Amino acid sequence: MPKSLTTKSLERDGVRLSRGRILLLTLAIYVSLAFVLSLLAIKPAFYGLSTILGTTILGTTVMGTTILGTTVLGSTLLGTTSLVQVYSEALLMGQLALSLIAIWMLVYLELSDPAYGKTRRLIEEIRKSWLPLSVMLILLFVLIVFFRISAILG
Amino acid sequence: MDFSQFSRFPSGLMVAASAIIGVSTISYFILNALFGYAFELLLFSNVVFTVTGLLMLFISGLRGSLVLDALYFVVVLALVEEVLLNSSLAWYGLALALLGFVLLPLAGIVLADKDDRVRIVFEVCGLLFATRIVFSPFPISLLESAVFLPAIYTLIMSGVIVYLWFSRIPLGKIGFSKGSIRLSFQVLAGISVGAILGLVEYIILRPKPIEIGSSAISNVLYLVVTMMVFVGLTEELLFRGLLQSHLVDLMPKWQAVHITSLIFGLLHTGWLNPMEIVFAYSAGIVTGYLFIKTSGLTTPVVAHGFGNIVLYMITQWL
Repeated sequence: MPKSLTTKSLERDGVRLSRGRILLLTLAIYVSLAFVLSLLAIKPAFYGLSTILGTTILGTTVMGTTILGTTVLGSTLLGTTSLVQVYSEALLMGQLALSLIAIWMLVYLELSDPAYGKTRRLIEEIRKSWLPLSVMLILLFVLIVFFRISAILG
Repeated sequence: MDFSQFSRFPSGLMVAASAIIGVSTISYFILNALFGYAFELLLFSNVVFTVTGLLMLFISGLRGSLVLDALYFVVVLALVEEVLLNSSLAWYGLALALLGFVLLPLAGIVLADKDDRVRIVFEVCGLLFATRIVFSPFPISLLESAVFLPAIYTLIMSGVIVYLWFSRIPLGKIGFSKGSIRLSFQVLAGISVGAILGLVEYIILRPKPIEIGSSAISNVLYLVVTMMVFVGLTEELLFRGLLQSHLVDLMPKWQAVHITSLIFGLLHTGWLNPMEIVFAYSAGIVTGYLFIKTSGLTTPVVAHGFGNIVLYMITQWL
């Protein structure tokens, strides 16, 4: 049985780290490294890494450039549309949908708050399950607002 | 076929993997001859890949309950979402990802019937779809930036951390452990496997070199940190650490590795290369196997990260 990082603690060199601290430390490392890498990166044309959409849609993937040229891959189905146009529209719609869902989740969390009185078990379970989702959506919503304001000011 | 062998690990996994790789590769060449490099090639190749994968699960006995049927649905949802997201109907793909993100945890609650293992599996599936929506807030101009990749993976990791914070899943369960063998052996195994994976992926993709920094050193530094920490750790934590480790509680090990790898493969559709999907599935099988054998995330993360480093290093220097 491996000596694992159990629910409560990690023991390393005599130092015990709580579970929460390990998670916060991981997040801090990610944020710090992302910042350092942003200082290193001066050229934009980076593309095609792994699974993230943005890296493949605007960059030039193997099939997308060498064989299909710059047309949208789905052009055989829907006629010719600009790649950037397709994803610009998708992002706009995505931002709208994401914002609405984030607001809806906030409302749900408020209405299902146990402080208002006893609620049904299903409602409680949904609240528990949606809580981390809500935090993520609110984080994304804040970013949407930030970039919107930046665009207006810039 | 001797079905009694089919339920064992890793023989069942080898049979299923051989079938899916064989069928998908043959169909790829046939479809390529029929359509050339067009959207139809991607669409039909993905369908053949998914159907073969699900068929292997079905004939091996993974059926009979709503929970298992719902897992088939998750794989099909991933197929449809990815194909749409990489077509001119991208918005519909994004909408499906959003729906998966919000509704799969609900499905988990309904299907779980007080079984936390089922609930966690569907919540994690929802998290996988979250990786498709995290780029939404960014303006399209920023998606071209080199900063985008670390930023997006930091967002994904934030989501995972928030989820882990609330769900109280033991960190040992998801692979944050020293593993069952010596750490140096784990790293060595990861590097060896990663080198082979990177070489094979290079043959399939032949990507352009990465040129984002002011010097060769900054390029290499960017590559190593991005691939090992951002890509390797985040993806392995999501797929092997969270999904596979909880699927193992619901079904035989090989089926858990197989389903995880199917979804992992499908989420590589963005490369627009059907053989990359088959490759990602195979890589998922290998890292999934290593995760089980070493009882930790170290080897899978090193293999994944080093594989990607080799892929771009070859491109850089050839």
